[in-house]
Amino acid sequence: MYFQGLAKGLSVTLKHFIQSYTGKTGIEDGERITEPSLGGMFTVEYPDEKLPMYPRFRGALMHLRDPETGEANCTACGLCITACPQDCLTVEGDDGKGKDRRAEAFTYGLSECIFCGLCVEACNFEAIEMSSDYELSSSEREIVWDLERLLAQGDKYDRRQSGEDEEK
Amino acid sequence: MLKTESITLNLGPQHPSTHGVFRIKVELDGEAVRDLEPVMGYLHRGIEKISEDRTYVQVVPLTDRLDYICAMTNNQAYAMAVEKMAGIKVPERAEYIRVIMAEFTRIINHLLAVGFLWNELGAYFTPLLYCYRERERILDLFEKTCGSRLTCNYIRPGGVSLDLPEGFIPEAKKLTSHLKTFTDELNTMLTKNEIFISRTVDVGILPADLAINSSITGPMLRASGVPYDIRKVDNYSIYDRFDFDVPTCDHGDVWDRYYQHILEIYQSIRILEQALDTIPDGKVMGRRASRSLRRPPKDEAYGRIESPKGELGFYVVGDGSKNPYRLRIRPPSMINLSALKEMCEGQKIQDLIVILGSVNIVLGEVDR
Repeated sequence: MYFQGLAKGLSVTLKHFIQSYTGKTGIEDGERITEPSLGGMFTVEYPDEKLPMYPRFRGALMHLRDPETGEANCTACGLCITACPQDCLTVEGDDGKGKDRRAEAFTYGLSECIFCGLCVEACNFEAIEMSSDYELSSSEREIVWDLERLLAQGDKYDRRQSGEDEEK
Repeated sequence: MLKTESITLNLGPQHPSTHGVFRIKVELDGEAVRDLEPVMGYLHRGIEKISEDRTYVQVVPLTDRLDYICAMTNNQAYAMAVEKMAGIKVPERAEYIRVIMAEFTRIINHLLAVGFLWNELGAYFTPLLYCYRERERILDLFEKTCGSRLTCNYIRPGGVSLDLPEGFIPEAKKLTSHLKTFTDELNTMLTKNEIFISRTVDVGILPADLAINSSITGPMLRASGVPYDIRKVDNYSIYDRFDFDVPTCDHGDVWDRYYQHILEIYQSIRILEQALDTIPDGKVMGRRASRSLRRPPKDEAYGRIESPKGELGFYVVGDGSKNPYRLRIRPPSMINLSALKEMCEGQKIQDLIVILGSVNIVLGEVDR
């Protein structure tokens, strides 16, 4: 029969059409379903539904605080600045020496960042991390973030506080 | 006698079926293609030049942006070239992770090659979206491992940047067996379709001798019947430990090029099954990697791999400083385009789109 191949192909499409109402895939109770299946509605209706991000997800940069003193961990050592391929970071330290030195100012050019994560790998003081924030459009002109903004981002997205910390 | 003349048509650069910004100047005699000239460079970003004032590690994010569908294999090719130049040893577990990631990338690329070819034939998005769905699951694994879906920045000179996350291996195993089911289904759905066969058999034939002379590599060369696969020829990384075949087709037309992709997905799945079963524990980054990259030797090296599209090579010249003195990329997509004229001459203009689709180019790599 001439149209055998076509009919076979369309039967697969029909099977998928039926399975998309019976199978299960996508997200359930805010968790991704990791079990792969051919059925189910795969589409996630963003912005009504959102996929939870993995702990390693590389979103906008954030600064972390020392949990005891509440100060920024950053010692203005400048390792992240040399690691950044886009030159989108600057830092200024205070007069302290060694580990007592603290960052006074830090800028992060959000519009230049390519989210490669090299700055986080370079950091030895657990001062910076990539947050899981990916909704970065803004109606205000905040394309360069200062230390205050980065710390606020850290307060919001720090995974250590929510107990989901993952060993490196 | 009716007086006729040929017309010159500019296909692209903003044509949806040229996979990006690619222009073809076609000379048409009615519907038949008489002559054609590919025009590229619309996506040129000067990646080779930018690399010259970045350190060796900072170049890795740039390689993500070459062939943006197969970031992992780009990373791997660059890392291999730098390792060869600086004499860095890669731990065994890292080699296994590289193989796993490279084969997943190959599956992604081949699924998209099939999907886009069908899109260009007018099967509006149904096969493509099935392929995209499976790609999404693989990208989820990538995101879980390295934090990003497309611009992975994962495979570095000296190893890989992070170890596999918890639960990766069982999840990847499940996905591999699922992909096998899916590929079977894709095969049933598409391969023997009569409309597809009538559009693609004997269209855009690439003979083996022309393919070799045009330096074409990858699935396109193998579809013409030449069993040349750098994974077998060079045995780079740890590919000699795995049992897999190099499938070939014999005719070199568009249908063969389509079927070649399906056959290679099965081989990738075979490699994945073996690699996921035998992956050892251990370190994922060479101990001396960062130190040797701080003081790299004055040397040069060429590293090449079988990327999903063909031979992807990086030629790195170091002058002893932290930056590469010169970086040259051999992009498979661009060189595979070199026989486009010969394949299309005498064909109809609607076949030109199909032939271009079967070459499977990514413009980020063509123009760099």
